[in-house]
Amino acid sequence: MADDLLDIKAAAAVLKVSETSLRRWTNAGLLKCYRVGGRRERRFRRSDLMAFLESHAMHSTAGSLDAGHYCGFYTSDRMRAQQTARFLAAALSEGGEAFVSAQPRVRKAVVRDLVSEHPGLREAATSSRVTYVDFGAGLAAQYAAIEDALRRAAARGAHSLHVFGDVSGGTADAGVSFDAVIKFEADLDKLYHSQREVPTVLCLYDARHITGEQTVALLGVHPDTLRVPLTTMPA
Amino acid sequence: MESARHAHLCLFFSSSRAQANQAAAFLAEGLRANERGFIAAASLAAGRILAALERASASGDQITVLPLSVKSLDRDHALAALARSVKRRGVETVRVVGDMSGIQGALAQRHLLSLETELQRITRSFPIRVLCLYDVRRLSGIQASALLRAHPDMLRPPVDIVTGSSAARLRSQRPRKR
Repeated sequence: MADDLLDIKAAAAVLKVSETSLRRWTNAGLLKCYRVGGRRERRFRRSDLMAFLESHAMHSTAGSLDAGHYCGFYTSDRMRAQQTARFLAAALSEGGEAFVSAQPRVRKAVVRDLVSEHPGLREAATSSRVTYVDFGAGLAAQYAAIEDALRRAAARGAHSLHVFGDVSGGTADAGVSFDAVIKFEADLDKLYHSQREVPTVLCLYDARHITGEQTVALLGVHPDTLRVPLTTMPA
Repeated sequence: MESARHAHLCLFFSSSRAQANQAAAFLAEGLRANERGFIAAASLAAGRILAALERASASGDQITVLPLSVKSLDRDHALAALARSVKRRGVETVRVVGDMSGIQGALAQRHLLSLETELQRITRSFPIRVLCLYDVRRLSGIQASALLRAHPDMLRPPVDIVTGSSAARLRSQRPRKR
């Protein structure tokens, strides 16, 4: 039968996404589901999944991102703005909230790119769904701000939170050592994964100012980025 | 190292021992599943990988070594030879370790990336798993990022989120209008 009711595992397999994403979309009212039984488990019609797939693919060229702590690399200011705009588009088109930590000029470029690529998200990009903060007050302050954002989002019952940090841009002039950045990211990784609803996080680094070994170290503290572990064994 | 039936992976190593051990682990996993294994590498590196296989109690008898060096490298020829070899042996699934560290310094980055693009295409045409080895000590951040982009099977998020889109890269290389 084409329209059998599917449980969440089968529905996730149809869309090739995680069960967490499905829960998020149904909580946000973006995807229709039926509740059955005493535990009110979710059931999905295949036709609803197909309709969602088509509308979602058309609406968000960025596609959906599973929750996790990711890192990315850019080689120009323009690329940084575009990567961030795509990330935010995924957040806002899903009805979620975002926390953007970057220097003012970077944030301006990001919003410009976001609105240019996704005119339908103009209002959302400047609404209270997005919190913009400066990344420049030091790593400890940055950690505290993120912790606070997570706490507030949980208190509001936000169904999803996307966090963006321009780490290279934010630490370039602050004399922060690479080791300190690695520790900061490792601490954040623990914080994110200790949340009841793990946020979707993108930390961007300027590939022009790091070595290959530093790239590997950054991937090591953003293990969600890779499908396959990228390890270097000790000599 | 778990991997899908079609996969184009990369490994950044920082010591010869890590290079050999991780390549051997990748090949041994295939040997246990009766897959055919290939090592495309310079003879020294191939020898190290075979020795590591032996230490892991896996036989190198089912491994074919294909020489890989800048001098002998003819991209189309090397890849066509690999594809012919796969077809001729009629094997269901193949594993290939490509030790790119032997050529990464001597070959221009764009040639290396062109080779990787072709490998990516091939992995979609054959039931083949390829592991490309790079010496991370000799890579810049830009090179490492480009290599990640050339191995999208490695990444969970869309590649454009992690390393930027190709179009953005090209645009960023053009001078800006004033």
